Amino acid sequence: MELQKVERLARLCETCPKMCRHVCTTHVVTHSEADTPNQRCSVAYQALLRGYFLPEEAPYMYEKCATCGLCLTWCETDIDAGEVMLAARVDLVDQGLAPEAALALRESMSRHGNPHGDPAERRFSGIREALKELPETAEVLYYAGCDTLYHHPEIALAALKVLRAAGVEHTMLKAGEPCCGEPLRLMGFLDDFRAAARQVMESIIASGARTVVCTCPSCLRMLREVYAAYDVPVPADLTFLHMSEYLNRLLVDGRLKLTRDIGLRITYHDPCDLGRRLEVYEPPRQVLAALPGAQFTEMFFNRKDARCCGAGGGLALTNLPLVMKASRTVVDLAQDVNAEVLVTACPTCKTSFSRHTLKGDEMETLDLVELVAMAL
Amino acid sequence: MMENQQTLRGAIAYNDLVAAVGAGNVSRNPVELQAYLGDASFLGMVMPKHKLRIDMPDFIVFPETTEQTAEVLRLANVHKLPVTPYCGGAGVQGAAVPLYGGIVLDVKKMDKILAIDETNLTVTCQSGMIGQTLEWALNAKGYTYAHIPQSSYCSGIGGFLAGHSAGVLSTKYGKIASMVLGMEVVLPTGRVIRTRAVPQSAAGPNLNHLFIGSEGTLGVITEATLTIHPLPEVRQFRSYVFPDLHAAFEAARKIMRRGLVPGTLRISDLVESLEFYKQDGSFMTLSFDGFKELVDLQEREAMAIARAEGGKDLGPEPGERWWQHRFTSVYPKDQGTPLDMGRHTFNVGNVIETAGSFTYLEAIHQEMGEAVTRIPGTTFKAHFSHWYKTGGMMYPYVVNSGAASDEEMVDRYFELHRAAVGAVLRLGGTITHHHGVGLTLRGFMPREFGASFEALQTIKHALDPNNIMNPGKLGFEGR
Repeated sequence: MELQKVERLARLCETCPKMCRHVCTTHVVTHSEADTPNQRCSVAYQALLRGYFLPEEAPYMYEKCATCGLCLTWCETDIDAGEVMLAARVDLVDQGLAPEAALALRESMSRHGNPHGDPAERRFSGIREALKELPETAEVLYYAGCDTLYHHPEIALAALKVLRAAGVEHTMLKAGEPCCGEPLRLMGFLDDFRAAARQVMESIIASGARTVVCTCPSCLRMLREVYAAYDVPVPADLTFLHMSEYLNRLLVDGRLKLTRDIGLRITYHDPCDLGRRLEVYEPPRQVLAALPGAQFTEMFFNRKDARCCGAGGGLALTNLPLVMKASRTVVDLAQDVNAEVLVTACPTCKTSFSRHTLKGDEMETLDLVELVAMAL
Repeated sequence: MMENQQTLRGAIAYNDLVAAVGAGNVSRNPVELQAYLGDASFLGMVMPKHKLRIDMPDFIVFPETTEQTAEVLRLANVHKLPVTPYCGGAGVQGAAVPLYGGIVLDVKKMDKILAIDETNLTVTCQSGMIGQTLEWALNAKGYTYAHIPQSSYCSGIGGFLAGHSAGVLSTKYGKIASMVLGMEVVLPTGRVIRTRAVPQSAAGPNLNHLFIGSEGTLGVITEATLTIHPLPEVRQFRSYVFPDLHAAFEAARKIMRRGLVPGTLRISDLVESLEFYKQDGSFMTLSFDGFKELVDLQEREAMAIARAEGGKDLGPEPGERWWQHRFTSVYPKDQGTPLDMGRHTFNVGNVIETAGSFTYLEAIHQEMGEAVTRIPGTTFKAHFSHWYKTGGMMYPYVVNSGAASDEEMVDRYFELHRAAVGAVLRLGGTITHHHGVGLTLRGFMPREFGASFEALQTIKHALDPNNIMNPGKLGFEGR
């Protein structure tokens, strides 16, 4: 069983009196003892001991963990319960117990090349005109990802606008940008994930780009560190950056000039994959500090302690009501500091928060690059 | 007991509960039931993995209001179902183990702060709040409620109150009982009562103290008004090593007698001092918190007393390190977790902590150490970390290993209790200072209370005629 690889984590976690329950994304929403990293690890460990999962345990393993890493942040034993969950899901797939939502995702990936079930030909429909202006090859490749292109093309448009304004020679995978594969990994389909990852790397290598910039932290995390951990070859001379990191470099180098006063009270949400996972905390803040007229206030929980929007770990597919409640807690924190704009740097977070902060409300959710585009 | 899952009676009870709190707040999902089988106690968590079966609860119920809680208790009387109140489940005595199945009533959906009164320094909150969550909310406004047990991250207000808990700053700020002004409690019959949230009152006995420490046997605590404090300007640490335990005790006694009010005052015996702090002698850590001038003065006075008792000044660093890592021992470890130290090796010390006078503490350290180490495979060490002008608390660390079978381990577990608690009762201490009674110590309650246990039982019978509230705990009868 895949769980063998994380046996120690599961075994130790189940003996803890739940020292991370106060931060667990699902537990703070449901308050149930079942929804704690400890209990999830306990179920996984018991399954490992008996050698198989019980059918009723399958949905539990898929619907309750956002793999957000908050438990790890608070664990002095360095246990990442999310890792145990992902291993459990691989075993559930192997045992033919993957739930409907996971199977539907795999089907969508297979048929459409994205996790949303949207037709592949619509991938670039939100940015078609901007795409036409891009060269075939360039030093810098903007890798937008499925959530940006299908749900938030405005983020991609802002990214392209800012790169153009800074005079960066850039392009995208115009012939077809494959999904990074992360949704497959989250649902336990490791073979499919590796195949997707190899396809992405082949496309990037073929593009000739040296620097890959992402607006999606999950895509970036796959490229920067996860592919290699799954034995997918990644050339050492490729550089992978989040848009916030790249924009910060452009600002420091004086290539990007922000002149327009945006005059907004803003706060910033650290996305899990960008913050806790990749430890990119300061570049987004440095970019925000460069916005003319922005009044920035931190939320009470920030950086490694930032709450999760709830949509991690595939929960947007398996447990949307939970995502709604988890994202509400972050929106409440932003309202506590009287922000007009809840800034994030992740399209998935934007989807989660925007459900509570519609445009025209007292507070709006924007991606960092959108604010930068406003300040040009 | 699982029979309620398969009977018409059980089906009716389920639907009554759903009518009371909504379908989303009643669970009979086996994965969820499993999660409530135990708590953080040896008996409630470790033993089920060593072949001691515990009956599954029938229903997990999550009331969202006091009124819903009252209705659940009324229904429990109708259906004669036992009710085990549950908050963080971090207790180490087994008080939250649903020994007879029935309803586990999880209060954690009642997790709102109702008021922070900055003028009068109180917070009123529901009992389902996790301790650290409350502390964060207060910190954001510049306050603390100063109740910081090692379980702060994983246990909640209801558990603190029902378990009569103490935090690491209790020497200055008191145990939870001394922080409470008023409470709301749902009595076992479903009647809701409130005590007045006032600084003090002479209007008869203080009913708060009937429910604090009642471990869910006399009702469900749903709300409390607690004292808060402005965050201290400074917190300063100082550590010493004394030639022997007696000298450290003398220093502690004189520090308390002088009215210096340390936040922390921890003394380790010679074994623990050597093992944990690499010091020959008896190690002491002190902290003072508050505004700088007063803290400096307190520290200076304490240093003079420590020096006079032969204490060697180790500076602030060991205490600061301890503060940084004050929760570390709770986390699981590859070798020797607090709860499951390995096959047939276990720590019983955390459930035989005791309190008494200064005179008692020296005597019990000697006598309990001798009593438990007579049992094969046992080691003993202790620290002393909650102090009063009249005495303090001993927290032993008793590890037993080498039992040949699960059955022998269980026998040794109880044998160690008989030996340790026997010494406590002989010497006039209490069987527990802050971990409570639960399953582990329930058999000792008649001896702890003496003739007054009958008075306690009479109160239990009067408030809970159907014995639905956490039966079998606190020494009360089971089902």
